[in-house]
Amino acid sequence: MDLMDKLTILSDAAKYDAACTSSGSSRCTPAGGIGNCFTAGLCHSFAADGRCISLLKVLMTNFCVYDCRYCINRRSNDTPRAAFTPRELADLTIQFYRRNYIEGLFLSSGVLKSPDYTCEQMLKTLELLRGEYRFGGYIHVKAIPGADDTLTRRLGLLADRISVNIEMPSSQSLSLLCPEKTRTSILRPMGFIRDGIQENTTDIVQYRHAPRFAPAGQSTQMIVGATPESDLKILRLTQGLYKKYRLKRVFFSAYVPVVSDALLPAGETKPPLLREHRLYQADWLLRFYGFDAEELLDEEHPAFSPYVDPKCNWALNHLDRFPVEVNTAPYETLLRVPGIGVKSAQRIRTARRHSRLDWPHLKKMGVVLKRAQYFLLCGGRAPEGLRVTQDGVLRALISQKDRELLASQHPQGEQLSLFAPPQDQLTREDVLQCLTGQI
Amino acid sequence: MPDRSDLIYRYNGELPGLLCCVFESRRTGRLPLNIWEEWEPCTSLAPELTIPASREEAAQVWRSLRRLSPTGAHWVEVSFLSGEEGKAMDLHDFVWETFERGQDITGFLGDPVVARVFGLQRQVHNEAHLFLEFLRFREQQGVLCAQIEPKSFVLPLMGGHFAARFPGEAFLIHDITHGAALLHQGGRMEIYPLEELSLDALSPAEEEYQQLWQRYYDTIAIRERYNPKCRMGHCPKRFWKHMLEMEGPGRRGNPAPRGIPAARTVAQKGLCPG
Repeated sequence: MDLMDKLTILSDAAKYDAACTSSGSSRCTPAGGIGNCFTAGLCHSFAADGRCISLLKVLMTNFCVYDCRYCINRRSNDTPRAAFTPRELADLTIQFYRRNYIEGLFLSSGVLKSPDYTCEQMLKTLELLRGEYRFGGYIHVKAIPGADDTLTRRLGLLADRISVNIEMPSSQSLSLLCPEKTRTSILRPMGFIRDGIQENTTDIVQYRHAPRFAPAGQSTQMIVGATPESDLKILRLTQGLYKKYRLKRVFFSAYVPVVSDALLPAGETKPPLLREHRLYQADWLLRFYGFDAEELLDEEHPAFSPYVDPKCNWALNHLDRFPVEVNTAPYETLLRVPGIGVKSAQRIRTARRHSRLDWPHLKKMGVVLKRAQYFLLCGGRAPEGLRVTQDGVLRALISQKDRELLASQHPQGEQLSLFAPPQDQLTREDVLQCLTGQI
Repeated sequence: MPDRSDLIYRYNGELPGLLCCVFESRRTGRLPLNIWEEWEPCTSLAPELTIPASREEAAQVWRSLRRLSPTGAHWVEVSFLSGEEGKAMDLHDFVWETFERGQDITGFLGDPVVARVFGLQRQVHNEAHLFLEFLRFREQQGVLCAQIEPKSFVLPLMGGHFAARFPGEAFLIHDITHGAALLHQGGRMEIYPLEELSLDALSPAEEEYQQLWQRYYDTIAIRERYNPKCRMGHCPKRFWKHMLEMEGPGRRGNPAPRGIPAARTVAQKGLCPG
């Protein structure tokens, strides 16, 4: 089998792994070597599905002894199989890297023979790259559940990021769909890696040249939409993983039917992309905006609104906290205003130290006011000429696509007339109330 | 700011020349109506004044600016690379204003003069960053060659990144728009004028890597999530011309995942989890 076929088979099998980030690690090029790491990461291309391509994402092999129901590489699936040799893969990585195609390698694998054997093959590749080629670029490696701790440790010392997929959002779903994997077999390596990273941070303080263990941290991934867990449950689990296992990232992967199975949703099911999108939005709110899972969802509302984003939804449910004054509101409060992100909030914080801010200033600074204008005051005033009409608010708070979705589910037409009587001016509260009531 | 005079300054098109314009306007206390480069055609009846570039005057302005506002000086340096029209006037006003207030004004983001220069430097930095990502090298007689067509003159902002990353490699980046090339060889780097770069036919090894990369690109996309709009948002079409997975050898643009006709569009929410 030639390299082209191997690459095709093994990248095709790896594409359902969501993570393709190269961030969180900073390294200079090793002496006489090639490649460094850039803390913010770089996206070298964007695939036809709009996802970034930062790393060469491949499996070491797609032979697998497991029979997980949702997985394209399951033992009982009839699919072409291949395996890279460590040398082939290391060569390919370096050649792609030199041409600025990629930022590094994302190496995962099916389990060939045994977890330990698979892990050793991956280790050989990484040792070639880091040793013989003196490669300083980014390496993300998947820990193989069930492999020996010493092997996992050696992987972590060579890679920038190491991850264990939690696969399913609950242990019931896991035992149903991955009969050979258990909750503990996944969480144990996760805990082991967390302790490794923790231990390493103290080592680095003591010994400057102590080898780094997974400097870009640990991440995980779960499949959304294959099993019946609610958004609330997924979000709580995510928060728990961040707190308990100190993960850098939790990735969500909308379930794409690749194999048919009686236990899985039917083959023609569309991947729940909107749901995945809302989960990522909420994930950002947890990590950068100081939100708590319980604030965004509760037992009465266990699912995200399809029409407005989680932050906007939260703000509409807490109208008593708005509007806030741009010139005096604490940074944390600014972050909670719909439409204001970390960059805008930081710019506001810098600019208001120097001069009093007014609406034109915000515009000049590049703060997007489409949504924020309903929740902000500048010098005690709302923006001039802000007309709060139902249509206007809907247009501002709900994206075009979601508005179409809303219209298709609540069909209501309006006859336009040249001589229509002036509409009653709705008050701000009326509209927001009707909006929250509606969604 | 005082009213503008009816005088148009002409300068030599380089940063020291522009700094001399600031020197002149500070000396006379009158702002120019506009600042043009020497070669630009005359489109106004207003009187013109050619400002000779003087090393001492430029150095003096630069020193004062650096002392008052290191960030501001960096903004000026970077914004000057911009291909935007009217940048000379914006930069002049920014430096003038810094001197007038005698302090670092980069925090006054709501001020129109500051906001413009802030925007300019951000635009240049962003473009340079995108080219660090989307540039593709091809190997030719041991030298890695790449071509780009940027709006701003981003070469000076790109060299350091690749030199740090490939210390042992010889590489050449050709900026087609500005007719310049950046060459790195044996630890030395220089930018020199180069109108045209003639590339040899691909070597068999090079062709193989290009095909492997194109195949990887096609395979890694998930068919069920096909979303060309989302891709275009992240990687605008103007970059495609020199990206071999987009419009490289044997490609016609808008590459689709295997198994999908390229014209099909799917109305789905697109995302980049990375």
